[in-house]
Amino acid sequence: MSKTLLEREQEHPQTVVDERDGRRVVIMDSARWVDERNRDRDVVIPASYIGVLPARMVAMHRPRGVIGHDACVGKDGAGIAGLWYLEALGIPAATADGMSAEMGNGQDLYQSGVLSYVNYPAERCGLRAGMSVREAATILRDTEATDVEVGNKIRREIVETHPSGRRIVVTDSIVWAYPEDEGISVLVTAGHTGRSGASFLLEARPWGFICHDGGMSKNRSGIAGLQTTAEHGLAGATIDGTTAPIGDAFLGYRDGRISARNEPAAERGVEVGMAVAEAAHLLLVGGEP
Amino acid sequence: MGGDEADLQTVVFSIPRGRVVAVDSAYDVRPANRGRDVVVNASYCGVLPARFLAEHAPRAAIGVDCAIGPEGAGIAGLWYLEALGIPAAAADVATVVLGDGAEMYESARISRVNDPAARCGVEPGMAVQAAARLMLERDPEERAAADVTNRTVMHTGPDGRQIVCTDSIAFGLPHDRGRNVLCTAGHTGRSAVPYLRRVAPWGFICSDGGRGRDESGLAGLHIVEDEGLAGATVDARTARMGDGLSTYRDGVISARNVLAAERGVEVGQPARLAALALLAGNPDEESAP
Repeated sequence: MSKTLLEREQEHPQTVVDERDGRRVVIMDSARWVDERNRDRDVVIPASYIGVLPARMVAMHRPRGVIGHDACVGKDGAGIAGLWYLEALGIPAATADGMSAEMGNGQDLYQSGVLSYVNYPAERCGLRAGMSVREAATILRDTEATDVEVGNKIRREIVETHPSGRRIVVTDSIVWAYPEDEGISVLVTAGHTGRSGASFLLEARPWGFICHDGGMSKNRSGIAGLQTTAEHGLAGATIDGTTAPIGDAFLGYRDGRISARNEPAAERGVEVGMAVAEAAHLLLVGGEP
Repeated sequence: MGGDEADLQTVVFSIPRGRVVAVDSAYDVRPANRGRDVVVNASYCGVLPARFLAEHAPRAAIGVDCAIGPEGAGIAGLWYLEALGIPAAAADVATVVLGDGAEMYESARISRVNDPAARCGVEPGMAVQAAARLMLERDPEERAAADVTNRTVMHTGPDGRQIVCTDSIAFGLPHDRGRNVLCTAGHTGRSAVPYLRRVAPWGFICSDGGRGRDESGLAGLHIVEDEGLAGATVDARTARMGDGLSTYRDGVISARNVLAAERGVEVGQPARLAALALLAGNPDEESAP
């Protein structure tokens, strides 16, 4: 069997652009050029897309952090799919917006790139969409990644409160409802609203809820829970799966639109097509006897 | 939150080495499934449910693609599980009642797979039932990242020239030079140029990487023209980056260089037809393979 070009390749051009306490920021034009020099100590900035294929190449050398290019995300999210591969291995990783930096140009990525997506370990380090690649690289250089073990990660934030003590809580999954959410919180979550979601909602009994429609699915099963919960007097609505990704309630709250709502939610003024944040507010303030 | 242990899992198939269990939600995975069972769950295949699954590291998992959605969030967990060596697949949401694991096992079909699942023999279009049994009965063999090339011959012309899919131009082989049309799936920016030059295939189709700033994702097309290389790009919104077979099967041509145009390649053409046109060459060209 003859060898692929990759296996025959000797040169891995890298440029060190920054260094502190032995930890370096290293730019390069391709993820294929990450190698053993980068193990454990370097934040690598390759101007490749961060799909699963480049992620495999990068992960075997375990750099400290990775910032690549999102290739405008593309079909099936293939331009950023490697973020999730690297997350599973505890490696902080982010991508720059495809229109903020040239593909295949590590220098431009470092100087002009603006972050578009981050994985969980990178988020924990303080990286955010909208941040410059240069700033993000410095943060990854100086911050130790935490909470990198495989398993459940709870993201939860109170985004609005009401004089009554009620509040809007954004959290990625309904299974992270606390007993104190019962009758108090409008939970904005990001799992689907099918029959399994409904059973969790009936157990949590929040003041209101907005979950994801799961792309609606066969027999509109992704929103079947709306009816079940209405029968128990719970007001709720779903996020249109074409407007916000499933699994990220924070993006759902920021970008999502309502695709369906049940009768108790309609009585509080929630309408199809409405912004999720507005619908959550109506669920919060409405429903007084 | 959670429920009672055993009654949430329905054993739908069993052999001495393990079981296929159907559950309504990925949250219903249990320690008893570790290393042994294939968990068919009617949750989406995002990173969040993948974290839950990975905590108990079942033998394999099948979830729902939830229409894939923005950023591929409905299947992003496949890549998380791949990094941990767990075979995983997603079922086409249009064949699934969300939240009903047993029904999903009976009637759903696979839409997307990760690499360990592919190595068990699971393919898109397969019934979930058949896929689950393959995952239970087979162990995916270990492969180094550089060995995951997915090199596949799609077509052989009368003169022996071939159309070959492989995931990256860096996986080109010496005998591709001047002979084969390569359908690969990285971008065609400046970092791809040295690879294109060294592989120097008879023709090539790569991804446009979402084009990127200043059309940098297809800059290589015109640079390699000077060396007589005929090539085109597929629109990254139509074909998955990092998946050469998707370039060939799903891709739509977004740009081509002059030499490819002379062989009849056109913008808007399916990549499959463009590959055939590249293979046939044009009457004025040197034609010995």
